[in-house]
Amino acid sequence: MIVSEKTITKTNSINQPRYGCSLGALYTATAIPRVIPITHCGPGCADKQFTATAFYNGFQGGGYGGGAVSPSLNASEKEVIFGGMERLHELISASLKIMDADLFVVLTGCIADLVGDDVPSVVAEFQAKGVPIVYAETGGFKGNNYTGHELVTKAIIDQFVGNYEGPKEKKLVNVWSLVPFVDTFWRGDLEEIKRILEGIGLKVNILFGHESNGVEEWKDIPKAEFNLVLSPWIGLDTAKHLEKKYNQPFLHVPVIPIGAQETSGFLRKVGEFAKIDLKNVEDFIKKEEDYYYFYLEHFADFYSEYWWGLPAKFGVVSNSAYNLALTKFLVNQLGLIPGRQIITENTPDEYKDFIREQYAHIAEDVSATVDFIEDGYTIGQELLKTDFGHKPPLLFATTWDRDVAKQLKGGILEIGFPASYEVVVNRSNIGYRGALSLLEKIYTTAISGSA
Amino acid sequence: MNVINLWGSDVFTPMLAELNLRVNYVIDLATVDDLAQMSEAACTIGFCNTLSSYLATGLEQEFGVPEVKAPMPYGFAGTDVWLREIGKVTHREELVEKYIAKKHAEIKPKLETLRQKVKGLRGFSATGSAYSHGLISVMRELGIEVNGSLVFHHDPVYDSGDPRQDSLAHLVDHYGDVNSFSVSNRQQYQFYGLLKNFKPDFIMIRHNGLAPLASKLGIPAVPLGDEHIAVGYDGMINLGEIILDVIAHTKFHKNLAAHVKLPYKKWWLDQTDPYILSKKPELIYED
Repeated sequence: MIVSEKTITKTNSINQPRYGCSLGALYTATAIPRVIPITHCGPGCADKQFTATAFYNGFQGGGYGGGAVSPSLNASEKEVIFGGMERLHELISASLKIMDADLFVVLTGCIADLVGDDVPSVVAEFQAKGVPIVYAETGGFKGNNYTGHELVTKAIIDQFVGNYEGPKEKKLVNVWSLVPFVDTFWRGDLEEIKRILEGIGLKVNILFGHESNGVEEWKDIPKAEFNLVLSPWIGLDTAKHLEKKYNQPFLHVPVIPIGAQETSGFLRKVGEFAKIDLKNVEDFIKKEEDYYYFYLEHFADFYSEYWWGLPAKFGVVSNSAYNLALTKFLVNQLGLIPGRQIITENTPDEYKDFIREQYAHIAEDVSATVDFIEDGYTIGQELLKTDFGHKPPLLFATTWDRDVAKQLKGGILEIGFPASYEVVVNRSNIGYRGALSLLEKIYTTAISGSA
Repeated sequence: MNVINLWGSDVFTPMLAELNLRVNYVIDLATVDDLAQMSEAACTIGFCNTLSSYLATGLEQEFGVPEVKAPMPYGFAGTDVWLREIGKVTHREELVEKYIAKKHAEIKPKLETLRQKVKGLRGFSATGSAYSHGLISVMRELGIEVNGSLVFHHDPVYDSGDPRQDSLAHLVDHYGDVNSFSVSNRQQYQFYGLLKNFKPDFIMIRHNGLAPLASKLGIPAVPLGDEHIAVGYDGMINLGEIILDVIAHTKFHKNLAAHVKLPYKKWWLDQTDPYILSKKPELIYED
């Protein structure tokens, strides 16, 4: 039985949260090579965002500017009562003296935003001297880290990249997709997105991760011919902002492509939008599909005749980006049956119908429903109520959902925040290459459960 | 008896069973019943005095449950005193002496073998205060050189006001002075200076943010998430074995150190005093 959203009583508490607070977007800043965040918040805030987002979520690590590296103001009673502007001025000065970065991003927490520190004026003083520094007001009440992510990207665009009147560069695209660190597999996934877009002849500002050229790449944002928003809704605000600011059109593709079928379709769509020579697109697709289906042919022995049974129904509990991408792949390319899809990121209301529509037409012959739930207890109860049929399901979920998976006697893959029993280096689950390693992971999990 | 601690393996139950004592292991993950019987215990001992001393003092003041006032049971000296104090409070002096004699005889030859293996190693502990005092004791029992330590706070006297809980004095009296002893919040940029000056072969940590820096300097860390493994006589052996495991990781960290850049400017990398900015804050504004 699928329970519609109406029957779910939303409590006023959120147990087992599946996102950080707005300040968690300090990891959006650290995801840009050689960018260091400076947090204006209370003691513990930045550390908690680190342990939740970058440590017990795939153990991704703080890297160059995250973790215990990021300078923080450590606001206490004094800053609450008298304000923290002086201290912020001192902290920025000391950071400039010690830390080696191409850009500093000041992020405010609840204290600064509540007491009303004039952070813009403190930062403006440094900007006037030519210091590469921006600020984003990311107090926890602004929203969660998904909100914070776009506050930070817009802050960098408006305060660091700035106005641009010059020419556009042909075939250059800015990609707005997964949210760094919160999306556990963002590093490998963004690499794969860049690889396939370059494959059809685009030049790609991927903006985050190792394949980004850091702040120089960000400065090239205005030169791009268009923006690609590759997610159900994250990045749309940024793309709309850029449309106005730099007169850049954007292409919105809600489904992050997994597997050859979806990925080839995606590339054709992008190719058409970017007016790329069809031959380039088809040549690349052919080469990639040769590779993909060579391995799929071998995998088919296992998939078609594994004697001891494989899961048929699945559930996905994750943010909308991974939820939609996985559901689309599992239904259309593996022929699995969607049992329960729960989206957990506190999706803005204006996008919910659009997302429901995607599930309603998940395949030509399959329609699915989706629920929007944030509270872990409610999610657990709903999963336990779900009829997954005559054998245990496969859950694509988080560490929080392990207990329920045990109760359901199902397999579980941790694919989203928090993934505390998954060590992630640069593995991807998307595109052509990522889909193959996802297959390995899915079926290793499925068949080893009883071992 | 109540054992108040943070978390980690219960190494206390088997040890104290030899003294015919039942452990009430609190507070994390304790049931309401566990908490309710705290006031009926024969005595209370605390691990991490910083966090346990308020409750232990309250139990003593309000319910007459004596708090065992002794240094923490690290190394022979600490463990001997701690056990004898428990013996006194719970009237088990004979059992305690029997247990001490048995464990000394059992542990000493094992410790001698370990000492040969860890000979020449230099350690550095960077933890909360009393914990670091205890770890330094154990490292010195193992014959490891410890010339420096970073503790995040300094609490010489706890709520009881009893000098027998002065863990730093116990360390210095029994195991000698620590040449350079920093009391500082765990700021990574400052820790860089400490590691650069001391060049330890490994560090001991129980908080995040320090080991990643050590790693980038080629130094492995012993992460003591299971915080009681160094407790008591067996603790010396446990810690020695773990140090050997972690020393083997040095290959990984040295290789990493050769390939990553630290996020600091040359000016800071060249400083020799990690606390220079506290002493001369005007340096921040110099070009």
